[in-house]
Amino acid sequence: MTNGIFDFLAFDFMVRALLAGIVLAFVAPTIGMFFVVRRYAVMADTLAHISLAGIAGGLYVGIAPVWAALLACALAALGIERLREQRVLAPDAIMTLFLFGGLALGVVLLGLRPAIGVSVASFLFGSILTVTDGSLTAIAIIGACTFLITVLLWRALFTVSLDEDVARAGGLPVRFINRTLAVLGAATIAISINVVGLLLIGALMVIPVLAAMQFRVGFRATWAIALAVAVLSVVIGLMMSFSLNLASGATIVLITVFAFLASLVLSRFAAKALRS
Amino acid sequence: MSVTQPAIAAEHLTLQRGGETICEDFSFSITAGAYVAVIGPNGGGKTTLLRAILGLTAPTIGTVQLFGAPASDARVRRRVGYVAQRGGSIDPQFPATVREIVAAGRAQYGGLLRRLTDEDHRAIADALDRMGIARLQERPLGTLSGGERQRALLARALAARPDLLALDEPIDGLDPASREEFYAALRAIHDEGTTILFVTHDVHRIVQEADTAICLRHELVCHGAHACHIGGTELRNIVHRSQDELAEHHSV
Repeated sequence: MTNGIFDFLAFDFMVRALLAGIVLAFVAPTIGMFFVVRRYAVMADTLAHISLAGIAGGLYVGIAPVWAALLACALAALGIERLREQRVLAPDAIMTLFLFGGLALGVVLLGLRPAIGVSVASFLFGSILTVTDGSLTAIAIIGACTFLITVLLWRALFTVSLDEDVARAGGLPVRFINRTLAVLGAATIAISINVVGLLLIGALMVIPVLAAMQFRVGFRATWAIALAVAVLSVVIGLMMSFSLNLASGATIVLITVFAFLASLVLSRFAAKALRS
Repeated sequence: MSVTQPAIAAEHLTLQRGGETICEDFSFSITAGAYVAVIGPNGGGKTTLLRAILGLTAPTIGTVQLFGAPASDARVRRRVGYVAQRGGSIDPQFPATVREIVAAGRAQYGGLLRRLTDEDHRAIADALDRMGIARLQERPLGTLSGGERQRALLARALAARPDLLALDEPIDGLDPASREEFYAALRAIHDEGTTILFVTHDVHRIVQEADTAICLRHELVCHGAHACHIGGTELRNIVHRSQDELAEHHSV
């Protein structure tokens, strides 16, 4: 196998990165759909910053970054939801508190013990070299559970996202559904660490959905387009990252941005064609 | 369940909003199958009362029962269809087709993991037909006119096949023709025995439709079968006159 576009598959670390990326490409826009339509997109960024504190804490006690990030994000997500329910502060104020609080805690914890032998940048921006067999297994388990739970709860999540009050008036357990979505968001952040990194995962959750929304189709159709955008972005991004020695997470995100711009143009052509 | 059980029973209800008392020690009962207009000026407490009835806001004092069970009971709320004020918090750009929105009305039946059944599909098709929007079912929400959007939201509430249909100023923003279509659709739903609770400040029109009125203006002004007690002109006056002039109506 020489000079082919799939040459990178000859390397085990690239195969692991590709598998982890594809899992992430299915999960991120699936959860991102519900965040975007609820105007809750900043939640992804908030949880991502909090996960840094989780990772730093995990390094101290010997818990793998994926699981430590999952634990920290899940606890923070539940805390954010609880404060939102109590209407103590506006949702954006709550998330700002958690975002900067989590980031500061992570930086302090990492600074207290600088010789941890791990590059912080690899967590922030992703590093495909860090996808080990162990982390791939964790990503596959967490990703599959997250995707499955979301699909099973699809109708309830959709109904609550459409209008919380109407869902509550109809007897749906809105609080449970919101908390479940927050924890599913936490799980998505946790599995993103190696491939796109904490600072860029929000983009993979949101931008494919924004690109899909330009076509003004139904919810399931929007989801399908967002999945396609995310999977293609991950595959093409990893290939380019390998070939051109680029940062994997940033390359993937730049491709989603390109896909968004392309969808802007394509959707206008499609609308014109329909009108004529 | 007893046939004579009221659809809504409020006892000694006191509601506050932002420290202001909306109504105090307010008791009333709504017979199942009634068409109730909740009227009053803007800011008079209509929506607060409706939210308390639907269990969305806890009363400061007192209780609300729906069909004999506390309004806070999620099981009894499955018998309720609700169209929120100005379409509630729905973003007009929400990426969903009319059919997906109407299908959401069926989510309150069964468990969270339940898939749509043939019965659900029949209820969705029926709701689309009744609101005359079957031809729009594949259209995204963002492409609908105001009237079409309101009919889609009413269809969502109808898809739940509710025993109580609660509507919060659903005709605001509709042109006269769309309003008349909306009223006609509600009349047909009411004729089938559904209890309707219609919040509006369009007193002139609603008195021709409803058989019972609850009139609020920061306090309970009157409650009852308005045709027996109080005419449409008087109700209009009550809604628009100054607070001091209301005292004479309190005994209604």
